[in-house]
Amino acid sequence: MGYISYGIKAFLQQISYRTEVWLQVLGNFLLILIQVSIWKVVIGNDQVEGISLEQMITYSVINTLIATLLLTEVFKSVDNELKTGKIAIYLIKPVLYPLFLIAENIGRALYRFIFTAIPTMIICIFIFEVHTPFSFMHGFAFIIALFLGIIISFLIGYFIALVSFWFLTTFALDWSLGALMTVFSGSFFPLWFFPPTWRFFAEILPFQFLGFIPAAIYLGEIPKEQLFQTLFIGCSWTILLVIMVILLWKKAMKRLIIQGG
Amino acid sequence: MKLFFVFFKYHIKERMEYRSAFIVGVCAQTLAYAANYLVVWMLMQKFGAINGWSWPEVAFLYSIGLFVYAIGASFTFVQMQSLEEMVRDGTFDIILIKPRNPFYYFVTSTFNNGYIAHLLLSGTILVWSLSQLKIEWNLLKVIYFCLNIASGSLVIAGLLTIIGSLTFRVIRLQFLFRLFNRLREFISYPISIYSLFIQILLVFIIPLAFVNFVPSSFILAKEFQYDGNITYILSPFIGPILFYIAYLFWMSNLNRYQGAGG
Repeated sequence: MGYISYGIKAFLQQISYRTEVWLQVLGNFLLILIQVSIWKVVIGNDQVEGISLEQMITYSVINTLIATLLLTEVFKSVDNELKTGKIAIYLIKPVLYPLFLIAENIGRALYRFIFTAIPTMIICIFIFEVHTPFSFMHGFAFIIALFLGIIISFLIGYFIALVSFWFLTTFALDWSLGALMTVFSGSFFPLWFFPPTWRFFAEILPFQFLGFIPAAIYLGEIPKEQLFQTLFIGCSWTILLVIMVILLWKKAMKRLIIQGG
Repeated sequence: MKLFFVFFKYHIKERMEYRSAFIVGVCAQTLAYAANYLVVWMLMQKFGAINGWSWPEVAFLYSIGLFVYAIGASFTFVQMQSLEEMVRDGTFDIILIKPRNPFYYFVTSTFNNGYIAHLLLSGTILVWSLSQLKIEWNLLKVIYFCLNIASGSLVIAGLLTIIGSLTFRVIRLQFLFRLFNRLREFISYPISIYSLFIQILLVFIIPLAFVNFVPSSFILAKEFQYDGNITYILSPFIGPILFYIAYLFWMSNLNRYQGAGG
């Protein structure tokens, strides 16, 4: 499989930055520390909406780990290749461009996970109290939800990349996506604490799979009976996004040819 | 100073060539920061207050932080970030042969007007929070407020300059800038919620506390756990002092610069 070697190449490229790894671990840790400090102040020894401080600490740690695995930044490499025209090279090669992008970005994400997320987690386990998954079943569902989250993040990033074929810049799209992710992924502020209207919007959008859903499953806050339904919604989003991306890809290709003129 | 305005004029002209893209960009940035406000607002809605700070007070604190950051970063962030590439491809040498102070020339030669969104949004929320808070303004407070905006901007500019000057030593900076942005998230909330170690860090080592927390505490008449008066008096001086140190640090690091282009 040629794609795997692309992934390995991307992974190895990242290794040349290994001296900066401790800075990234420190950054991750600081983020968790900020969140833990906030939850300590507002929750204390109580429970809010049935959520305790220890659960929120685990929630913050899990979400920091999830964030390192997300592939939304895929549009950045497309943006670059679009501007330099390098994209043409990939289109004439006997590879499927989207699969190449997946391979490349998974390679990078794997690097981030091994060298930054795992050390961060080890530090957190020593310093804070981090829960294990609620049950075996929830642990298993967590892994599936995490995979769904990674795929959805790739599709959203790729969608943005394709839209940028029309705008020729991803600047505005980048910031807008950032806005949506900040609020609706729930990676810092979980959906449990949302006011009803905002919660409604968060639940009809796919961004909750990029943080809230996997972490909530991990903590067992989504009951067993609803696990299947939740994962089903995630799969539906994946399919819907795949269809949207394929349609947009076809249009974008036509557009690209016109541009090359 | 004249030089700065000449550069500034050309920069604005250049940007206005792509007016619609620029405006869309500003809207998107506003949206992104509005999302940050929304999350803090939801947090405050749910829990009422955080360590005795109400929502308008936190909004005030957060807005000052963002406003000051935008001013400080607009004349240092892009410069310091591009320094790495300039050193690598040798274009930095052009600055050294100009008959001006290299730091001054370098800082003024580009100006990032990408902070309009930050200023508009934080300014608006700042005015709103002031309308909600019953602050007894007097001349002292007004002067203190203005001095602290200036001083806070210099704290940000100074810290970014120190990070940027490391280019002359270690070459790669993007992770340091990212770390700096993480550190900046600490001051989105009252720093009294953090452990003593972090508070000491933010007051004495990386003095981000003086960007918004110390002046806000004074203006909002919050109880302050350190020796309040001395900290309050020192606050407007921290920025200029730090920026001067950063300038000296930048210049001394510049002396080590040998040029990377062959």
